Amino acid sequence: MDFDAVDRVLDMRVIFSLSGSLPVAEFTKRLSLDLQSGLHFGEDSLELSFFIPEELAANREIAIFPAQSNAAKEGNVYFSNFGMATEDLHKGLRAAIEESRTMVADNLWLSSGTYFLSCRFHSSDLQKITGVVLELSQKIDGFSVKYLGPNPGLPAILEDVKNITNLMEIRWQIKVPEKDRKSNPFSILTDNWVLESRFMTTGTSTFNLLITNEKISNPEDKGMILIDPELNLYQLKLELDNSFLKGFFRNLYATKIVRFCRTFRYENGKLELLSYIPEVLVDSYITSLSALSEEFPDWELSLLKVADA
Amino acid sequence: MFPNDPDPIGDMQCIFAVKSNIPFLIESRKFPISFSEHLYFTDDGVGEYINVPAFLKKDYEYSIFIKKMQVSEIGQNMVFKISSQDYPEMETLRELIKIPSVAIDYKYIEGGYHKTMFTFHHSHMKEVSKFIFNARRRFGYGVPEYIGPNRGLKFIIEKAQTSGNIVASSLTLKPPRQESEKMKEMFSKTWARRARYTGKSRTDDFIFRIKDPTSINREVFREISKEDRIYGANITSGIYLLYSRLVFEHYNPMFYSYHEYDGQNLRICGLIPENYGSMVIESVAETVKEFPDLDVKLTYSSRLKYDQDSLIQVFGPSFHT
Repeated sequence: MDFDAVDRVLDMRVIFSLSGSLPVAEFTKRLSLDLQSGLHFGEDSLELSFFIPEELAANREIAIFPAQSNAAKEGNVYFSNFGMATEDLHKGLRAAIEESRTMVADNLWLSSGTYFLSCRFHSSDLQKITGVVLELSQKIDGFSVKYLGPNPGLPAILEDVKNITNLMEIRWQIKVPEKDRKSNPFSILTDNWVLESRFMTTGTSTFNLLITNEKISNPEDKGMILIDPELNLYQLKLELDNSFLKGFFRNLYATKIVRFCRTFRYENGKLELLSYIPEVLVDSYITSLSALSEEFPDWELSLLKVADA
Repeated sequence: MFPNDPDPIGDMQCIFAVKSNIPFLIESRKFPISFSEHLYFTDDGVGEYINVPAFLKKDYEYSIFIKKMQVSEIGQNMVFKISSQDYPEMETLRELIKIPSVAIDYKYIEGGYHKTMFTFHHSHMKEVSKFIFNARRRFGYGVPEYIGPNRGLKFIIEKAQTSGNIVASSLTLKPPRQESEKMKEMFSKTWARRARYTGKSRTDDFIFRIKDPTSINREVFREISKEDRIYGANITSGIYLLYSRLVFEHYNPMFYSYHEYDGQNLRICGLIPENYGSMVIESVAETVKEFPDLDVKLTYSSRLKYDQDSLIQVFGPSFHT
C-alpha cells in the first residue's frame, strides 16, 4: 500500500485564517515576515511554536524578538511557545479537529500578522466543518476562511510550506520485535496498513486515520470508527504503549519538531515512517533517531531516505 | 541519465556532513567555493589532504588564510594536511569502509562542513544508518544531507566541479600476466569495478559488478548481492598496484577510479582535480616502463565535459547489461 493512501481519499481542503493579536503577529506584520509554526494538541491546551532560523535571528531587528518572547534555542532554531489567543478560538479549533473525525492539520504559518491553518478532510465531514466555520466567524474577530474546496493533494500543500522554509523528506524503518507486536498499534491491526496522524500532540495519545487492505470486523470494539466502508477508511485514537514509539513522540514534542505528512506504513512486521521536516530541524530529528537507535537496538532502526523535498 | 554513464555498482548514495573543530573548516567559510579532499587510510590512522586551489592566491583574504593555516606546497599545488593523530574522531570513517558495499565517491569541504559522498548497496541501509549515528556522536554534529537512489556519475562530477575543473584520464591495456590463481579467476570473468577508497600506499579494495557470476570462486569474490551481481575483491595485479602506488607517491588526489574488463582489454579510468592532472601522466609513464609488454594506450586525458561523447571516450562502452 502506498504512503499516500490516506491523502488520496481525503477529498477536501480548508485554510482558516486569523488576523493575529499575539506579539509575534505584530512583529511579522511590521517586518512583512513569514514564519513557519507548529501546532501541538494537549489534553486541554493548544500550543503554538514559531521558529526563527538562526540566520534570521542575527538580523538586528529580529534579534530583539527571541529575547522579548523568551524564545528557547534548540539546535539551529529559536522556539517560542504561546498559549492560544482566545478561549473561543481554542474551543473552535478543537471542535473542528476532534468532532470532524477526518480533519488532518497540515500546516500552520504566520504571514505578515495573519495566521493560516491548512487542513485536509473527507467530504463526509463537510457539514461539521461548515458549522465550525460559521460559529467561529461570528464569535471571533478576524477569523475567516481563505480556501474551502478540493484537496489538491499533499505534494501541492507541501509547496506552500516550501515557500517559507526548505523541507527535507525523511523516511526510516523499524523492525517491530516479536514481543512488541502485542503493543499499539500493532496489536489492533494485523498487517498491511497505512496510518496518518491527524495532528501533533503533546503526549503519547495519537489521533489517526487508517486505511487497511481488509475490512475490520467490529471496529468499535477496537476503539475505531468506520468512516467509509468502500474506502476501508477508519478513525483511530491510539494510546501508545510501547516504549519505542512513546520515546519517539516524547522526543518530538520536547524538541518541538514540526512534521508535515506524518505517515506510517506497516507491512511484514516492518514499520516505515515518512515525514517532511524543515531543513533547520533535521539535525534535531536525526538526534532523536540516533538516541532511539542506541536505546532500542533490537528495533533495527534504519534510515531509508533523506533528500530535499 | 546518459546511457553510457557507468552507473553505480551500488544503487544507493549518501552525503554525510560533519563538523569538527579543525580551524580550516571555520576559516574556509570565508571563501565561496568548496575544497576537495583526498582521503586515505593507513594502518596508523585516517588522514586527508585538503586541496587549496591556486587561483585563491590572488585573494587578499587568502594570503592571510594560508599563513594562519600553514598550508604546504606540493609541486604547484597548495595542500593542508589533517589526520586522526590530531583529530581522533576521523577514525570513525574507518567504520564506513568496513561496510562491504561502500565506495567513496568524493570528499570535500563545503560551507564549513566536511562532506563525504559515498555509494552503497541497499542491503546495507542498516549498517549505513548505524555508521551515521555513531559518527555524529563522535564528531558532535553530523547530518545526512542526502540518502536515496544513486544519482550517478553526473552528480559526482557536478559536485567536484564546485572546487575547480576536473580532469579525466583513461587508459587501456591487455590483461596483465596472471601470476596467481586469484588473478586467473579474476580475468576469467568480464566486469566493471570501482575502488572503494584510497590507501596511503596503494588502492586494492574494489567492488565488482560481474557480468556472469555463475560458478564464481567465492574465495576470490566476496558476495555482496547475488541478485545484482555485486562482489567485493582485493586485487593483486602487479601493474595496478605499482600504478596506484605511483599515483600516491606523486600525490595524485584521484577521487573516482573505475575499471572495466571486457574479456580482451582492461580499461582504467580516474577523475582528478585539474591542477594535478599532469601528474597522472607521469605515473602512467613510469608504470609502462616497468611493464612494456602490456600494450598500454593512454586513450584520454583532458578536462572533463559531461557530454555523451566525452563519457564514451573516458569510460568506454556501457556495462549495464
